[in-house]
Amino acid sequence: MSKAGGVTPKIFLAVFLNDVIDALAQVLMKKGIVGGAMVSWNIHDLFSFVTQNASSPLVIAGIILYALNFFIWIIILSKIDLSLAVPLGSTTYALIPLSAVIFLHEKIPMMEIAGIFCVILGILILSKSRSKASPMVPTP
Amino acid sequence: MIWTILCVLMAEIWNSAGQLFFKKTANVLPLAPGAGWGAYGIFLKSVICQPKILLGLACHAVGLIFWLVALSQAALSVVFVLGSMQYILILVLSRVFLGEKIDSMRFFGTLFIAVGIALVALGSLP
Repeated sequence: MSKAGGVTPKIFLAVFLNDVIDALAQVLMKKGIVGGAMVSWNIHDLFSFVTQNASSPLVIAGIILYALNFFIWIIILSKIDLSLAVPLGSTTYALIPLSAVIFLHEKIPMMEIAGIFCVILGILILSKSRSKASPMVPTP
Repeated sequence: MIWTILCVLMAEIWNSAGQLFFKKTANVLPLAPGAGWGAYGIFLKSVICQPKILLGLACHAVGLIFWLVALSQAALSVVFVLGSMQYILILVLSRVFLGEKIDSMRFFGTLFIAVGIALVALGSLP
């Protein structure tokens, strides 16, 4: 029993806002990671990696943004299918590389730009998808 | 690089499981459409009391640890591109566990996104 409708502009805006916050959280966490890369893989290193980074203000800020995103996401999920909401969230694939260029000074090759356009095309196609088989369930 | 890929894959599996728990809960939660901010407050309060939401959050917590480890090893755009596997995973899991109907627009839209992400991934390689 799925409560699902088509993608309305309001829902798309919510998904987009969710992505903007997600992109921001990712950049904050990447900038906030302290103590360098975790290269060896064992429980002790994993534990110290987690405790070290749990006190990094930028990582904490990223996690707080994650919490905000969680509430927005549950509201989105209560309105549309999961298989619709998740790919719609791929606007981050355009946003993350762009924010990586602006804030982390990473470089983007031509093929990546082509991929970003392909993702945007996919989102446009998705927005035409409807769930006729599952009408809105009346609230009790 | 192989560790980064494995870390991202583990993060995606845990996150997808979390999403399934979230959606299962969202399907049974009442939210009157367009009922204002008060309704959202009641909705959110009822959300965090759901056991499946807590299970989903636990899955995401495990996923986040793998994600942070991956982020420490490679450039953000590279790590994010590797996460594209989740789209295929979610499409299959939504159909199997949630019984969602995958129409042609949804299938091809997701396919375009997957191809786009593959292009981005190829572009990210040195």
